[in-house]
Amino acid sequence: MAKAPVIDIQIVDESGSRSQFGSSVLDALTLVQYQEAFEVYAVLVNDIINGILAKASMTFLVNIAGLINNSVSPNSDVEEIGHFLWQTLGGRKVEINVPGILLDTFIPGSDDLDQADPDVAAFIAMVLNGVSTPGGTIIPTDVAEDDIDSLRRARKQTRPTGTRG
Amino acid sequence: MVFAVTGRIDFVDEKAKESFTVVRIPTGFGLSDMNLFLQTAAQAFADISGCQVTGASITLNMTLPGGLRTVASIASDIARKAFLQYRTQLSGFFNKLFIPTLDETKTVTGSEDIDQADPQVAALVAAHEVGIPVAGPATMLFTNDRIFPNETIAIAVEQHMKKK
Repeated sequence: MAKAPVIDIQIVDESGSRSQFGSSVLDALTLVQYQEAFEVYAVLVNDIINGILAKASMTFLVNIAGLINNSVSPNSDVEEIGHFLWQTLGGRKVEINVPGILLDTFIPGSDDLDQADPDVAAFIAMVLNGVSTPGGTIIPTDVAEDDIDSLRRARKQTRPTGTRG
Repeated sequence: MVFAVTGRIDFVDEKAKESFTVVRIPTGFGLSDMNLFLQTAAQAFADISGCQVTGASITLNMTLPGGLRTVASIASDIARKAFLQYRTQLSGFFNKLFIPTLDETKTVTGSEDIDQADPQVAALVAAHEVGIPVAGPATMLFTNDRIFPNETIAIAVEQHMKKK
């Protein structure tokens, strides 16, 4: 069953403590329309509280039902990650890691990922060259929206469960 | 400063342990374009991971409007919540909201009930019940997480939650 988009609003009280509440909304509008409605909603919320609205975001779920070869492999482990360190046009470093990296993607005798492996190469190309969409090519960026433009290293790492991959 | 849109992809392994990864993308694209990007990226991840991709989502920042309160009242406390429960258009299903730092002047004297006759409370309740009109024309309707739109308010009370 489809799930609704969610507007999350973070509120701060006089002691600096923060709390967040979320509200689901119908998934039939454009981003411009959601922003317009949110600006009205923020004022309505502001009027019944005495804290301050610190920030707000909106989350949309993506339909991944069309993925192929998407199943759990024996002995897969999210704690074994493919660590990809990228650099952006702004000179910042960005990690985009792959939890449960397939162990046959490594160069034998090393912890380095085999960048010549077709699927690894395709993943790297997707990040560096982006994905073509009707609205233009979307290339992953750093937090300041500078495009990723090079790969600095790709190797195996291990990280505890529950942390970001 | 404008911050990039956050794409998140979730994974689960053979032992049912979970993890996720984040891919940031630029603002300025429509929802359908960002959807296509995340679907393509999720496939690229699935092709080199032994885990199963269990979900993907896009999170973008909303711009706060001007004129909002910039200093919290000394009486404000995130543990004091406005608990609002709405019946949805599908009978038997509800939608609950807990809004922090409820202004206590919005409650009925001598009661924990939120004063629905207060104009500002009434305006918020009305927005939750019938939505907010936007250019199009269209209406942003509030729903529960199963996309059942709110219908009418059922409960509106002050609640204090445990504060850690």
